[in-house]
Formats: sequence, C-alpha cells, structure tokens
Amino acid sequence: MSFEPKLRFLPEGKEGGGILPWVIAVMVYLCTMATASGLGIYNAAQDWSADLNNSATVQIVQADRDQRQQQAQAALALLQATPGVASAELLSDDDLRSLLEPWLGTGNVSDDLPVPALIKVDLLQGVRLDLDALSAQLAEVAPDARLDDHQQWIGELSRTAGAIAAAAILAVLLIVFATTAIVVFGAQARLASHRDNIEIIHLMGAEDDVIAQEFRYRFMYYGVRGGSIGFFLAAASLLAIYKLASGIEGGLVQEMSLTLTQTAGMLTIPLITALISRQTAGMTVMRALARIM
Amino acid sequence: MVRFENVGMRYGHGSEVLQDISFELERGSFHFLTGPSGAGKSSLLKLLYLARRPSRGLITLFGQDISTAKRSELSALRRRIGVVFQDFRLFEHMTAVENAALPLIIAGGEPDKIRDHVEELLCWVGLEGRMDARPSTLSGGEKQRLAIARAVINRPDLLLADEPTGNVDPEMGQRLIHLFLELNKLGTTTVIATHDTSIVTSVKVPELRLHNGALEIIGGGMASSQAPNQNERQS
Repeated sequence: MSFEPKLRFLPEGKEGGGILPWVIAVMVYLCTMATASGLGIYNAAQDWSADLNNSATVQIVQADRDQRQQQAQAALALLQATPGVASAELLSDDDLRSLLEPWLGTGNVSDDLPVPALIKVDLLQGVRLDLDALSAQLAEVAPDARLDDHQQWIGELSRTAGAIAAAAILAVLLIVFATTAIVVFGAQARLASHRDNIEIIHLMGAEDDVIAQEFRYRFMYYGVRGGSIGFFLAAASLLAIYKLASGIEGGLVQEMSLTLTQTAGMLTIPLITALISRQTAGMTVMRALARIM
Repeated sequence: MVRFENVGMRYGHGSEVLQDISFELERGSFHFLTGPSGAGKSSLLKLLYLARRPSRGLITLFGQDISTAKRSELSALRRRIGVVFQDFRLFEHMTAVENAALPLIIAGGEPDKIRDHVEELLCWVGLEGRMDARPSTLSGGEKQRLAIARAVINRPDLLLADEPTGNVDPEMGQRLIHLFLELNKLGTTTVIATHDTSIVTSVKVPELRLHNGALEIIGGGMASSQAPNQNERQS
C-alpha cells in the first residue's frame, strides 16, 4: 500500500463533504444566472441608450395623406437645415410597413391605414437638442409634428436597467453571504464530528494553522467541485436560453450578449467560490481552535 | 524536567479534582501513577500532556512555566510529549504505518525517511506483519502497541500512558510494561497511570499515589522523586 507522509486526519469517502458541494453547486448556479442576467440587461440598456442618445424622431400625426406628406417634406427641409443635425431621413412607406409588420403581421398593414410619417434624425456627436425651440420651429412649418429626442425613454430605460443591475448585485451578494454561512456551518459540523481526531492532532503538537490547512484543502476541493458543477449547469442553461431566444427579431439576444471581458470574468466564479470556501473554512477552524488550550 | 507546586485543578465551577499537588520528576525517571477510579489520575495526566491548564499553582515543564506560557508556545512543548491514551485514540481511516507516522509528519520529519523509521519501530513493537492494517482489524494488544509506537516515534522527552494495560491480558500487560522500561532506558521520562496493583508490585519504581485529589509519593521517599536504577527495577 502506498504511503504518503501528509497530515490527512479527516477521513475521505462518504464523509468527504456530503451534501455541501451540491449546495455550493446550487449557489454557483444562481450566482452565475444572476450575474449573466444583470450584465446582459446592462449591456442591452447601454446599447439602446447609445443608439438613441444621438438621435431624435419627428412624427407627423395627420390622417390626411396629402397634408401628412406636405408637412413631412417641410419638416424634413427644416431639420436638414438645423445646426447640429447630421442627417434627417423621411422613412418610406415600405420602411414603415416593415416596422409595423412584426406587431401586426405580414400583409396586415393596409395602404389606407393612417400611419404617421416618420423622420429619423441623426445628431452630431455630443449634440443635445433644444427641444422647445425646435418644436416651436417645427410647429410653424408642420403643425402636426411631434418631436421626440428619446430622453424620457432613455431615462426610464436607464433607471430600470440600473434597478435590475442593483437587484442582480444584491442577489449575488446574498448568494455569497449564504454560501459563506453554509461553509461556516459545514466547517463547524466537520469540526464537531471529528473533534476527537482534531484534539489528538492538537495534543501531538500540530500548530493551529496546520490543522486549519487540512480544512482549507478539503473545503477548497468542495468549492471547486460544487462550483464547477453549478457553473457548468448555468452555462448550459444560458446557452439553451440563447438558442431559444435567438429567433426573436430585433436583435435582443445580440444586445444582451456578454463581452469577452465579462465572459472571462464569469469564468472566475467557480474559482472565487472555491477561494471563499477555503478561506471561510480556515477562519472558522482557526477561531474554534483558539478557544481550546 | 517536570515540577508541580501546589497545583489545583477544577472543571468549570465544580470542586477541585486535584488539590495542592507538588512533586518533581527528574529527567529519565520512571513513575507509576496510581489511585482508585475518580482519584484524579486522568486529570493529572491532562495537566502533564497540556490538555488543561491548572486552576492554581505552578507547573514547570522542560523549564517553562506552563501556567503563564502563551498558547502559541505550547505546540512545541507538546511535540516533546508522547501520550498513550487509555482508549488508544487511533485514526480508523489510517493504516498502522500512517497512524504511527503522525507525530513525525507534525514535527516536519523528512518524508523519505518517515516510512523506514516507522516500519522499524512497528517491527520493534511486534507489528511487522500489520503495517498496512487499519485499527479496526487489529486486536486489543496490537492496538495498544500501535498506540505506544505512535507515542514514542518522536523520541519524546516525556512519555505518559493512561491505563496502558487495561485492555490486555496480564501477560501482554507485563510485556507492555517491559516495553516502557526499555524506552525509559533510552532516557525518556515515563509516567504510567494504572490501577493494576500486580503491575505496580512487579516493577519496583516510585509511585505517585492519588487519593481524593491529593498526592502521596511512595518509593521515592521524598517530594522530588528520583528515578530508580535498572537493577532496582528488575529486582
């Protein structure tokens, strides 16, 4: 039989962690899902905000087609002559139809449907429109024009995305707290169930740190095992969701996709979990040992 | 080597289980610690192997005052003490070799030499064919010899044994006592706690006799007991 001169005073086998790695797996699964959701929503919000921040929309809400077209052309001319406007484009009937078809269905947008005329305005980088002044100017040439610089929507989107990101961060913090508490209870249970072994080792002259090292080693292993399982399951779930959602039009999935840095950061979750498990167990044992002579 | 001065010990808020214990053990001495059950033998041993601090009095071990020693200083002192527990306290998930090797591993012995050293000692205590056996497969006598091997593997300065013959037949008991005497010849200060009078009378060594928590020294003739020479022991 091989002999390895290492201080392994905690038995292996069935007592090797029990349910603890599985609880850690659940926690890592939840943590990964919360982090991915938070980051995905943050990315999408950033993307949408960036798209809308340098643009505005003018709608001509007039039921009469001739008047609508007349006002649209007048508004277009005014916008193209306005300082700070990079470009202004009147959307064609086909463009409008393609915008409506995802909601009304293909072929359901009839020509006599009174759809407002839309002018897409792109602004020069960093330009903020004086909404009131431009609205007043538009009202003179196109009384039915409605100017929207999207700031209200961006504000709401930003607040919502911020709240979701905060909730995700809170969820991650709660999961870290719960994982730490579970590891503390696990280490205390191991200490209690192997109290005799630990006492003998202690009486043989083992330093506290040497005893704690065995716990650090074991709980790091539980963390790596549970963390890997939880992360693998979460990655599989995220890939499945990605595959299912990739059929949704509008590029939602692409906008929610994680960057390379974020993905690399996510890969550290099992490692961080293992380190939390290791350090927490070590500290728990050191505190417990300090109470004996 | 070991000096107790007016030592008292109590558990929690209970009454004292040891009262005004004073004695001195010279280096290389051999003593029996005797007394009826509940007299305080195990408590005295706990003080000696640094599992407890005294409630009062002064204990000096290897020249260091234990009562005031820092906790961080005790581990090094413990490594100089070998203990044979009454219930063996072997690690069931380890083989005989692994159990006996523990003190060497704790002391940071050279990994290459540990196995050879342990095997040599296990042969010496008669466990040559049981190196890789788990404690659950060993007989009472084999467990006792393994526990002794573990206690002495590090060549401790002080060897303590709590009822080492309590779980073995008289013949094995005598063999174990002679094993302790052999170890004592190598210079190890030895204290054997026992209530087996046949063992005590068979070997003439000083006796620390506890009764109701108080200590009486028999055979040494003085408070500071002296180690007998080998002729006296074997007579």
